[in-house]
Amino acid sequence: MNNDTGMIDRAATMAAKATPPRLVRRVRGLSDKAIAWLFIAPTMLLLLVINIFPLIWTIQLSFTNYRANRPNAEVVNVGLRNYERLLTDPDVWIAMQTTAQFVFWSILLQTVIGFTLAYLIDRKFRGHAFWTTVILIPMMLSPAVVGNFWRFLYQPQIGLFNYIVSFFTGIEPSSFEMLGSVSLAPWSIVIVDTWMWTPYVMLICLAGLRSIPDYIYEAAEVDRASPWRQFWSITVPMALPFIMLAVLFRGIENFKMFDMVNLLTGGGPGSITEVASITLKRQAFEAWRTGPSSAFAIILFVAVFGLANIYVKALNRVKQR
Amino acid sequence: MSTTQTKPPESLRKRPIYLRRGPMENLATAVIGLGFLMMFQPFALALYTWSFVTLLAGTVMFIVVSKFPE
Repeated sequence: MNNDTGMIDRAATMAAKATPPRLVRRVRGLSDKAIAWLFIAPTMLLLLVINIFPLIWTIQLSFTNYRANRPNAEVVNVGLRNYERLLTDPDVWIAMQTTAQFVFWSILLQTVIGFTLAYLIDRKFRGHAFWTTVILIPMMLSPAVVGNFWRFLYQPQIGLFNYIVSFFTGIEPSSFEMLGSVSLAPWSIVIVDTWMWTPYVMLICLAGLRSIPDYIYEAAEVDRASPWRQFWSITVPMALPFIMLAVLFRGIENFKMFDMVNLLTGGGPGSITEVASITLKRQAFEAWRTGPSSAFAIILFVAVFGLANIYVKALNRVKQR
Repeated sequence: MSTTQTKPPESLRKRPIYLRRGPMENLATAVIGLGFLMMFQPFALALYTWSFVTLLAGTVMFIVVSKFPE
């Protein structure tokens, strides 16, 4: 034992002797705060380069007529004209409404189904771990894969979806087209998004339900509270911060939703499923109007940022209760 | 039995309402909510036009007032 300690001491003395005295002085001279800054500096630098700099550049571009396909053309400062045009354009207004409808319905369905599934899984029936894994599979797939295979499922001639609907309702499978119909196309996207992201909401709700201590339910049973009363007075209030967190995450994601809509309908038929991100992509990479599309990106950013602020405040209030 | 009422600290009592964090955060939240509803409502284009300014004002206000002391 003593022999080991002696060896460690000798090794430490040798390491200290091998370190150049100037470096020792320099490291010893650093305060704790400076060392902390040294550790977080690479992350800060990375954040500045990949997050802050593009944001500032986008803000700057939003006041210009810059076109990315003509990098050598003269860039003119147009002031607030890009914002003015976007905020008086009825097409952009309709895209915003489409986004809002899409976000509302998909989040409502995901929250209701996700919480119900979490509640059922939390009952801990036989094989619940297996079913949890099965339910989580859609979330693990790539949106590009999901978009492509749902396009096949929605095929009116060979698609499985139409046959399942036909089996339950008796409607002819080829009599309706989910992706080609003006009334059904928005729902087709809501269905796919709900199918893919309900497991995510379920997972967060399950964490919330598992965090409720058993003794609260035991106390409620002693007080002869009915299961219904226990659900509304214990389960829902205690799982609420988790539900709100899931809604916040999904809300922010759905506002930016692009890949699934682009793969399934591409904004069509007509412009019925043209959400804000599709309009943005068309302006930026089809019309090459980089300046106005930067302004549009900033408008969406402010909307999501404002919503997140309200939500975090509400979340804190719920947690303090 | 003596009834003692807890008074707020001296610094808080002197602070006007527009420098208090709680009420101003609530106001900023209301402005953001209003701007959000204006942006996504389907009734009037004029409301949509002014929605961004409202949202931006609410968000900036929220960032500023959330730095006020409790």
